[in-house]
Amino acid sequence: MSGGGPPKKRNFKIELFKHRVELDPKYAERTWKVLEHAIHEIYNHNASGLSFEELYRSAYNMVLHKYGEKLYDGLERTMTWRLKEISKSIEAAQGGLFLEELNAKWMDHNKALQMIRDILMYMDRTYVPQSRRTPVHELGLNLWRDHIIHSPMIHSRLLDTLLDLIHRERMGEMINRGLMRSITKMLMDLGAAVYQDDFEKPFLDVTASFYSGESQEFIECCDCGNYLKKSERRLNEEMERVSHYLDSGTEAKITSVVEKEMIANHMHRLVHMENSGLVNMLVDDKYDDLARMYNLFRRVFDGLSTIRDVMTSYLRETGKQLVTDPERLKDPVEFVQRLLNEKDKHDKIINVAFGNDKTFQNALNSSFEYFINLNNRSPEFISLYVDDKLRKGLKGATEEDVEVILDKVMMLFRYLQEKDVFEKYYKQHLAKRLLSGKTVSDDAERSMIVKLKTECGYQFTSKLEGMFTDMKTSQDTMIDFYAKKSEELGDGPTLDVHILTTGSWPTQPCPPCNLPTEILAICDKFRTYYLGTHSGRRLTWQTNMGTADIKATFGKGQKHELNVSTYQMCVLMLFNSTDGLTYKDIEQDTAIPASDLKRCLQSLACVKGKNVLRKEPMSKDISEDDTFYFNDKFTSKLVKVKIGTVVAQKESEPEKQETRQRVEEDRKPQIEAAIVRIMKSRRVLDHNSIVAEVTKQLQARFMPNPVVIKKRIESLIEREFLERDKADRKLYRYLA
Amino acid sequence: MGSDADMEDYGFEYSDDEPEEQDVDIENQYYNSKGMVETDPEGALAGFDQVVRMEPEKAEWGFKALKQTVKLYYKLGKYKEMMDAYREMLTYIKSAVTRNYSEKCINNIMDFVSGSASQNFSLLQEFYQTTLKALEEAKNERLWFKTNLKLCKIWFDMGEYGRMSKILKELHKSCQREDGSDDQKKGTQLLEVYAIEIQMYTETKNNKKLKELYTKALSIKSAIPHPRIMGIIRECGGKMHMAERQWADAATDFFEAFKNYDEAGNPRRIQCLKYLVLANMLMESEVNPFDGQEAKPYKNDPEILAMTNLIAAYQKNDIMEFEKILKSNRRTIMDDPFIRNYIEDLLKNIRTQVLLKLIKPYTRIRIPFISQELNFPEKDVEQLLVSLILDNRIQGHIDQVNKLLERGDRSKGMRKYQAIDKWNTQLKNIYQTVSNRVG
Repeated sequence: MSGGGPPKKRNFKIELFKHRVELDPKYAERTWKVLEHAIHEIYNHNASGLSFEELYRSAYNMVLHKYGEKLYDGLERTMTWRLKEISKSIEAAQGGLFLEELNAKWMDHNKALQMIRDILMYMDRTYVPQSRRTPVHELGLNLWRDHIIHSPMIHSRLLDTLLDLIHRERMGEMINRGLMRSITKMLMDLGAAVYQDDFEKPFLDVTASFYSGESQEFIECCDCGNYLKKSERRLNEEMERVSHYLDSGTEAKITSVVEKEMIANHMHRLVHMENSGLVNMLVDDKYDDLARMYNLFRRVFDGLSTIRDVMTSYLRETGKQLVTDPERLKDPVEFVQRLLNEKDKHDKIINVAFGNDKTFQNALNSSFEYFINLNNRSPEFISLYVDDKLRKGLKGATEEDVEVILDKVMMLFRYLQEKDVFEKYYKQHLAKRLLSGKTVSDDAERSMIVKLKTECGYQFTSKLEGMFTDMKTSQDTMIDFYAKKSEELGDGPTLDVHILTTGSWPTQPCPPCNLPTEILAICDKFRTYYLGTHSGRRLTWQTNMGTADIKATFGKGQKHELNVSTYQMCVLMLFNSTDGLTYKDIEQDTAIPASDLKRCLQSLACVKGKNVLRKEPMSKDISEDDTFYFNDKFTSKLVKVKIGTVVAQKESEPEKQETRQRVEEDRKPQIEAAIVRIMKSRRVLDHNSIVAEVTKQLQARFMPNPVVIKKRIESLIEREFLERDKADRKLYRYLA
Repeated sequence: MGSDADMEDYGFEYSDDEPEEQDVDIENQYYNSKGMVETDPEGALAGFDQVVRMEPEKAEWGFKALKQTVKLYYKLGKYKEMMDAYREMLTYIKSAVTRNYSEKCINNIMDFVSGSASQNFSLLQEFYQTTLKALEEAKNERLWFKTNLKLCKIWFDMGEYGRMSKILKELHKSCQREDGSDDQKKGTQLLEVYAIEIQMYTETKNNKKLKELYTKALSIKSAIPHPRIMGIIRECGGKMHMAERQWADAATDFFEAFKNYDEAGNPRRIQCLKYLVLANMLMESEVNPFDGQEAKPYKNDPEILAMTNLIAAYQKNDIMEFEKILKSNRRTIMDDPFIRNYIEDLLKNIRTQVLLKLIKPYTRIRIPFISQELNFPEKDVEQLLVSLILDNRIQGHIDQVNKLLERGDRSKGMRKYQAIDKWNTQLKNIYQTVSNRVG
């Protein structure tokens, strides 16, 4: 065997299996039987004996061999049968076991469903999408819904049971919340629509009915505070219930129901409830109740506005009483203090109970603005309050305390519509404080001025600042005067002068009176000194605003130091040289105006304990036929006696009118200036627009009266600042 | 004749009435003692002591009695007793009396004592230290501030700038918020601190610091300033601007200072008016500062008149009159070191004006002639001419050999040489051409 070349290679070839498997027509039927059996075993809790792989392969093969439909229909049929059986079982459950049975079956169903889906996974992936059938798991849920939940007997019983349990919980019983949780979750798993239609809607309806009844019962037997407490508790309970065993989506709906039934439907009755409603809460500072009302009403449409409206009405009524009660008007300081207390009280309520709600703050502000301006004496009273504080009220207070008090006053000031009236009175009171040296603290005075300036601008306070400057300058002037003239002055009376700039101070024209010669001498020296220092100036004495200290010796040698007004000094000095004088003599010798003189003499002769003069005949009033004598019998416990000037009782109303009149007079040039400013920039403008614009510009100080504006326009036309348009008489033109 | 018993109580109310005093005995004791101050000082002191002891707790009358006691001991020269009484008095200021009243009393006493500071320096020092300590403990910040400010002014008057700075630092700190920025609510106080600090820097000629403070002072909005304070600030500001040769700003400041001092009745206003005139001259302004209505009344004041005449001569460029006025009013004008500082500038200005006017019609002027007209030495005239030429205010040059100022374009000579050069070039060309033709 040798010889030949290399041996030839041999190739292998593997042939595909060519034998076609021809399925037995009974294969499908047989395979399905196996699967059907398995499904039953699963539901019978005998799944452990089954072979997953075998079952999966069987299902796989059926689908593969185009028996998907048979498989799917078979599944549906089998599960339907099972669920009907389960339905019977649930229906047979006794009383309290109903929900437990339902839940147990549901859990079994879910487990079975999961296994079945796993076995039939291939069908779910291929046949179901192709044929647009429902996926296995979803099919299972749908069947459960249709045959269990919507079973006529189970359906109504389920709802009734759930609602009954909730009702019992509302009544204070303990219930199985876990079980409730499971049931509601089941409903949600079946689809939100199932939960909503089969439970939530009926639940809400029943709840509405429940709370409608309960609220009716509560409102009959409870006061407002307690009612709100109960409402709050119920609201919290419902929210808690949702968090424990209802779907979270229910919370908004259930709270809405409670809000409507417990709050919205009874809102007005609650706030107006006798002895315990909103007004009573406000009066008695029931912060907790108010906070509760605020928080509850906030949940309801128009809730807060209802509270706000009632509060506003109450504030306006209360405030109106405060500012119009004749008894309270007698003491301006008390008047303003009450307003401040009222403001503090309600600020605290808004802060503590109403969460510093801006709309409530605005309501408070508008209410105060409303009633403070009802009384046209408010500006005066606020000024008097400040006067009282700056005279003595702030004594011993720290700087922070001062700032707090003044800030509060500024809040009231902001509410005033007639700020220029306040300025007029403030100027008068400030003048008195400065001239009498009664100010507690210069810093507090300046602080007040700075606040007013911040609020209303430099224009408003420039004169007030001028007053302070005058006081300081006067002090320097007097120091310089005595430093330079000390030799000349010798042992005469001491003079203290305040130089008051014309226009800054609320002085009135003062006719010259005859000063005693001793005083006249030093006054002349001062005049000479001052005009030498300030050439070009004019000095006028305001004798109606001065004071004097006099030493007096009476009949039995008793000595007193008298503190009197300048006018009183002029009168008293006359008695150094004579014992008796007639009224006419005094008037002639002193040249004091009659009204001032009479009040002056009234103080000196008609006040018990201060009567350094004696009057014949004895009477309350001064007449021109009276005669006055030095009162040798005058005695007083005090060495230093302060004799004031009687308040001109009969003149208080005319005085008030006079002040108002001066304010009105001051407003005219301001209105005219505003009109000219507007027309200068607009050139041509109609009447209504002018009125609106002027009002807008001036309302920071006062509310201009349209009629007054009209008159000022007429006046400006007469003076040829403006002219009427030829064609349209309501149109005005500015003339350069 | 009726008696008091017959008098009815008509029920009158008093305006500004005060509640009836409860402590009649204490009050009477006080006034009786006060009446003895002149006639029986020892008796008065005993009486005041009685008032203090009569009061159950610290109140108004005790405070007043102690105040009188302090003053009386001071007059009697018993300083130790005075300080004891003063210390006791300070214990009342926390709450016994109103803030204003206690401030007023302490201020009076401090002025009282300060009036004779040079005599008893140690007493003054002890006095202020005692006061400041008590006020700090009583937390009376405002009065503490004022006292420190007063002490600061005393140091300023004595030229003790080191001590001043120390106090100023504390004062500034008290006007600051916690973050170190100035508390604008203390605007009035800040202005007072700035005013005295500005004065200090003016005296020590620290212009950089001065400028900084001046700017800060003017930016304070929330103050109600005393016009004297504003006057001081503006005066120092004006001086600062003068030092920086910013005449216009200085004039504005001096005018504001004048107005403030005038309002306050402070005699410094005359001085500021003089400074105003000075600044106007230096900025070569045509505006007459006395045309304003505030200054018009002072037009005929002798001191102002000197300055007015000076400005009139200045505006007429009348150097003879100008110098004559300077001579006859030397005290008024030259005694102020600040004014003297700037007179030299004024003289230079007016000489410049006169010189420029003098040479206007001439192209050539002899320097001795100018010297005679200006009343100024030849050497100085030459110096002035040099500076004007360098400033390009005069076009020309100086012939020192012949003592001539030759006005006109100094490049004229240059033009001449250029012309000659051109001529020479042309000649050269002609020569070249002719030579070529011949050749």
